[in-house]
Amino acid sequence: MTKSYKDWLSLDIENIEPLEMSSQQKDKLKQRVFKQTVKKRVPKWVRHLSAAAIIGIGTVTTVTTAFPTLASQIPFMKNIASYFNNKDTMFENFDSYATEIGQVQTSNGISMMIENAVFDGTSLTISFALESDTDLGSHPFIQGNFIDIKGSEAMGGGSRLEKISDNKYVGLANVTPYFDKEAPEEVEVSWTPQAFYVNTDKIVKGDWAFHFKVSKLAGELQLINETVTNYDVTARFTSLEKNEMSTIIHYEYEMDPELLKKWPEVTVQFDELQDNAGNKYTVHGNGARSLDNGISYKSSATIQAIHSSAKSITFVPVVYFSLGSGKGMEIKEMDPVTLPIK
Amino acid sequence: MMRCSAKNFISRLQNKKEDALDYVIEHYSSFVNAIAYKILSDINKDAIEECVNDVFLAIWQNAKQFEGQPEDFKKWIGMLTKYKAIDIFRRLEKQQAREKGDEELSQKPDVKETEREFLKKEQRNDLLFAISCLESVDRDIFMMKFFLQLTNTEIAEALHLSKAAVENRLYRGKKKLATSIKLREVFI
Repeated sequence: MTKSYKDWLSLDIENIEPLEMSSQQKDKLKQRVFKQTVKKRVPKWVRHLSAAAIIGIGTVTTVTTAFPTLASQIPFMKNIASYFNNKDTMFENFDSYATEIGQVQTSNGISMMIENAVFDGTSLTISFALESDTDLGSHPFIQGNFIDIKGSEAMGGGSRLEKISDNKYVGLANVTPYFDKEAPEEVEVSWTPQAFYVNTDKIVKGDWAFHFKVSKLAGELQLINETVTNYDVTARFTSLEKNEMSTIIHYEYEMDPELLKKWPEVTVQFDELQDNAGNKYTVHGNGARSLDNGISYKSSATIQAIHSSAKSITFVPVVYFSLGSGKGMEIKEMDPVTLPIK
Repeated sequence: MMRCSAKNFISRLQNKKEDALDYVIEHYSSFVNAIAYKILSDINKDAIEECVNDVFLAIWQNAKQFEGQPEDFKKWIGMLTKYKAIDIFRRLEKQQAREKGDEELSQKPDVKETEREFLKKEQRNDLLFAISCLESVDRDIFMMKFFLQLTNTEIAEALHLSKAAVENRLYRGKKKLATSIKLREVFI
C-alpha cells in the first residue's frame, strides 16, 4: 500500500472524472438498496407493534361506524414472513420475490388476510394473518378446503399458524401441486377455510373465500443424472430448477419390492446441504408421490437460491424405513451425493 | 403520472418514490463510483461496491434530512461518499496491517478503536448524515473529528489550518449544533 488515508482527506471531489457504472451494476445496486431497506424496517416495526396495535384498534372503530363494508378490506399486517425464523431456508427472502395479494375477508369475528404469495415453479408459498375477536389459543388449526390450484392433479403441503399478540396470528403455508404436464406460467389459487379449530370444545365457523392468481418466478432447469444405491434403495437426482428465490432439487427413488414386505413405507429425504464454498442451506421437503403403491416415488426438495459462486452442492440422503403411522422406524444414511452447479 | 426531473427528484426521494431512486442512481452513480474507485481501488475491489451501496442506502433512508437545492445535492452526496470511503479505507488498512502479523503483539489497546467498535454501522451512518447537514468548512472538520475521530492536530494538518483555528471552529460549531436535539445526543 502506498497511500495512507490521510492523503485522501484533501481529495478534491468536485473535479473528479465520472466513472460510469454498467446498467447491470446499477440494477444490482437498486435491488440491494431495496432489499436492505425492507430488512431493516422489520425490527423497527416490531418494536412499535403495541403502539401500532392500539392505533389500529382506534382507527378500525371509527371506520366501522362510517363504512362497515370497507373496514374489512384494509390489510392489517405487513412483512408476515419475517415473524418466522426462516434463516437459510427458501423462505428467507420470500418477501422480496412475492406478489402482493392484500385480500381481507371477515366472518364471524375473524378477519383473515392474505398478504403475499410466490410460485417458484414447484411449490406455492402464501403468507397470511388472522385478527380474531376471540382467543384461538396459541396454534389454531384451519378446517375446510385447503389451498387449491386449478388444473393440478394432486397437492401436498401444510401451514404454520402462530399467535403473535392478543388477537393476532401470523401464518405461512406452502403447497406443492402436481400437474400432468409442465407447471403453468400462472397458477389460479383458491382457498376457502370454513372454521378455525382450537380444540374439541372450541371451534369458530365462518365463511372466508380467497381467489387470486400468481405468476411463476422466471427460472431455468439444469438436467443432471446422479445416482446413489444403498440398502436396496436407489435415489436418482434428475434436475435442478433455479430461480432468484429458490433452488429445487428434483429426484426419484425406488426400491426392491421385497423390501416393502418388511417396511411398507420407505422415504428418502435430506435436511441440510452445503455448497463447495461452505454455505449451508436448510432443506424444505416438498413430499413425494408414488403411482405404483410405494415402489417408486417422485420427489423434490427446495432450498434458498444457491449462491451464484457455488460450483457444487453436497448432502447425505437419508432413508426412513417405516412400519407406517408411528409403529416403528429405522433411519439409515446413504453415501454422500455431490451435484455440479452450472 | 408525474415524472422525476432535476426539479422534483429531491422531494420525490424524500417521499420514497421508486422512480426518484432510479433518477438518483442514473444521475449520480458515476460520480459516487468515481470517488469510491479513486480512494479504494488500490486496496480492495469489493470495498468499492460496499461503499457505493452504503451511500445510496443511506440516501434512500435519510433523504428527509437533506435540506437544500438540487445543486447542493451533488456536493452533499460527494461528501458522504468521500468520508464513507475514507472510513472503509481506514478499516481495511488496519485489517491488512493486522494480518501482516507481528506488530500486533506490541500494540496497546486503543481506546478510540474500542469506542468505534461500539458504534454500530447504522449509528455511524446516522452520524455521517447528521454531520453532512452542516456548513462546508465546519462539515469537513466535524467529519474528521467525530466520524473519523482524528485528533485536532491531524485535522489541522489535513486542512492546512492552525490547531487553534480548528479548536476554535469546533467550539463554535458545537455551540451551533447544541440547538439541534438529535445532534446533541450524538456529540454530547
